[in-house]
Amino acid sequence: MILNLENSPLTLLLSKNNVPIWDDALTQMPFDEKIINTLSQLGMFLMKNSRKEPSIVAAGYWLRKAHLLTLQQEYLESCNSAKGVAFHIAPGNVDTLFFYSIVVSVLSGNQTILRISNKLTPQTQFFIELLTRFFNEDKKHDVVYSLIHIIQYNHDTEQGLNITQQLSLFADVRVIWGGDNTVEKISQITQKIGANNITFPDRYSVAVIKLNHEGEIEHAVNLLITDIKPFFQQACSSPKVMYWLNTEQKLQEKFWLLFTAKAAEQLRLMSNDLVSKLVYLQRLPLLLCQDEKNKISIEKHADLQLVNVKFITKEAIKAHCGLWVLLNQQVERLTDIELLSHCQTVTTTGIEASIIKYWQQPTKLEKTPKRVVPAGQALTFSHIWDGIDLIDSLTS
Amino acid sequence: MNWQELSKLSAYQLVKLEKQPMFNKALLSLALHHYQHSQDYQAIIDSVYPEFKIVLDDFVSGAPINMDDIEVPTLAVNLFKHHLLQSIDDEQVFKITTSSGTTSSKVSKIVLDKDNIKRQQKVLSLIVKEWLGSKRLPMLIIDHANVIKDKYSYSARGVGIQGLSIFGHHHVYALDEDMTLDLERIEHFFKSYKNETIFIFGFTYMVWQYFICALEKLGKHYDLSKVIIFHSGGWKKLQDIAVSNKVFNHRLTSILTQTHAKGVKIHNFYGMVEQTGTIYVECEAGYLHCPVWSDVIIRSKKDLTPEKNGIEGIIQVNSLLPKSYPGHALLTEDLGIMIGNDNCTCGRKGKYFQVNGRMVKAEMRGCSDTQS
Repeated sequence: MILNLENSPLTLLLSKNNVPIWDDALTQMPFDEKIINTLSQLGMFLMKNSRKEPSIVAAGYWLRKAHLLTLQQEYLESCNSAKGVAFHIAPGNVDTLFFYSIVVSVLSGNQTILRISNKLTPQTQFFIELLTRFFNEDKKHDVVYSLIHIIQYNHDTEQGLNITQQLSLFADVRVIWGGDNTVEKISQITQKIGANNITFPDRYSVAVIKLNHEGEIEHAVNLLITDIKPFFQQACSSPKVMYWLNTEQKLQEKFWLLFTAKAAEQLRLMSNDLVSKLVYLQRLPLLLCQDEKNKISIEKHADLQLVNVKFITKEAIKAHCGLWVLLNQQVERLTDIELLSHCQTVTTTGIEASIIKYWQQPTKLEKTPKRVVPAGQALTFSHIWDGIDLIDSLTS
Repeated sequence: MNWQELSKLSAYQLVKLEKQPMFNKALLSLALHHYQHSQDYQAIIDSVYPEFKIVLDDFVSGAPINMDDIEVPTLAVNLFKHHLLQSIDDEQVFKITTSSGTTSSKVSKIVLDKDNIKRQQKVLSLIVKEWLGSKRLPMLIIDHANVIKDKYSYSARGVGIQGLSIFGHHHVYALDEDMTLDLERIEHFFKSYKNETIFIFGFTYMVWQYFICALEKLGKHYDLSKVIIFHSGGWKKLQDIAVSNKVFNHRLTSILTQTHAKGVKIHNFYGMVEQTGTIYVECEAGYLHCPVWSDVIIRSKKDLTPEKNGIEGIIQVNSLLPKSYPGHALLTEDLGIMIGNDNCTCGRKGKYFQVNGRMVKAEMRGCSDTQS
């Protein structure tokens, strides 16, 4: 089938043929050698030209050949062919997630059409420029190039809705990022018969930390900053709640003292963010059951507000604005931690792997997180995201 | 100073030394009132501003307080978009006003009782009198009559029109519901009051789009001798199409009069539904004036601390009117510059400032935004 959207108001940000005409027969074998070669070269190109933008360096690193070959081995048996056409709806401004969405889709051999926000951050613009440069420099990457299409359009207009409808009827799979609202909205649009959805609804994440002595503090501080600094702590895998496991008050105080010193240079908010954050802080007492049982207090550490709580509520998490606010809770045992059902990532510091494994058993935890990783890796992308095996879902 | 005494003051007469001690004390009393009558406000103070709780305790016990050092906490105006904050019992609620908002954004909800509405009307009339005189004037409203239909829940436009209508008589609406001019009605109105001062009111953008531009298109010009125009509602839309206050005033004047340019007085004013009543009217020198019942503080864009005169910051408005809801100290989302205090060339006392527009909307970041 051919889909021709030449007469529709859409912009092609990255597309080999520069015309919005797609043929669903154009797919490749999953992990085809050409794909692996091109993507690993793209990885090197990104690392070289990243201008030290950490998220782009990380994306480049993810594409190293050894990693791609490991993935190939892992899926050699199970993945026979690509799904066909994958229509991705990328999240607004988590600058690099759009790219990982494309990469796993292309690795799986799919013709990949990705809709990106109309408001791009300078970082995302720079990233797309790099991609354009890479693919235009060398013809030998054309096989992969012809699989990738990044598009933009006003999706809340009638014409925009029409584009979404046509792409939905054309695609064999939709990858819907963007939280509850987007998932709900897009899911209502009819798909091709037999097509499926990969959806990423609202999630939140937490950090669990245990410190035993002063020597551990500096490393732990660095890891926390690594996890909350990108995207102003607004990515769903950045921790919003911090659980201190049996850690002496004195050590915690020293932790925050050092955090303040380090964060002062790194975390900076603009005026509109300061106001958005003030709204959230003032809402918190109203969202956290405002009685004696959960009397809250707020500490300021550089541009981070630490909100001491006895427990969290779903409302307080849903309203969380990022912008460096951590709900802070003391616990004696891991089992005292009550996760909400939409918990995605738990980052851990100072806790033995065996204990975490034990804790993660469904019998110990009422709600299990999708992912447990060491602190510092909250935002590290994995092809198994949110409990969904992306490669498996993008192949047949 | 109690409400009785406050309502006897005139809007622009007190100088800083006379106003500030009186105002600060009244604002503190008001904060205490809300602390005692709004559970939500109490929770916010206890959790976010424990140091202010101590001040309130001292105030209640009569301990000496240095008023100059006290900062009454500022609630972010957006809080009213998420929570219905009230300092009265449900039975006393008389009206809930809402801010104007597009369908995609939430609106503020302001809970009012009869007493609070009376205060708002009283103060509004004390302020407007300073500019219009105490006589009611024939009034042309640049809007359509249906905008004030729903009596229980007014939109910002409805509140504005309703509030200012009491200064006019023989009100005429210039527009039909489809926003087209009713020329016959307008011209009949101009003719009937040829020799009187007439009063025109509308929202800035409406006046521009549906009155100024529409009349220009028709090539209409009039020659009125005395007109006072009040308009409000922000410059955002006009800034988008690059229309300055000066251009607005010039083009409006040349439509309304050919030979009496000095008889046309145009006053923009700044105000918000969350603090109805205390409006800030632009004087002949082009500055907005703070009336005695309210106070304006400009806050730093970097850290929200008070900003120096002459430097742009975020506008905070304090008002002595809100009693049924804790809206006595609000941080807006508008940017402005404090020009000075007590020394405007127009002669009015008190602070005077200018508004530069809305803060740039926060870029949504994070996984849960694909809708932009």
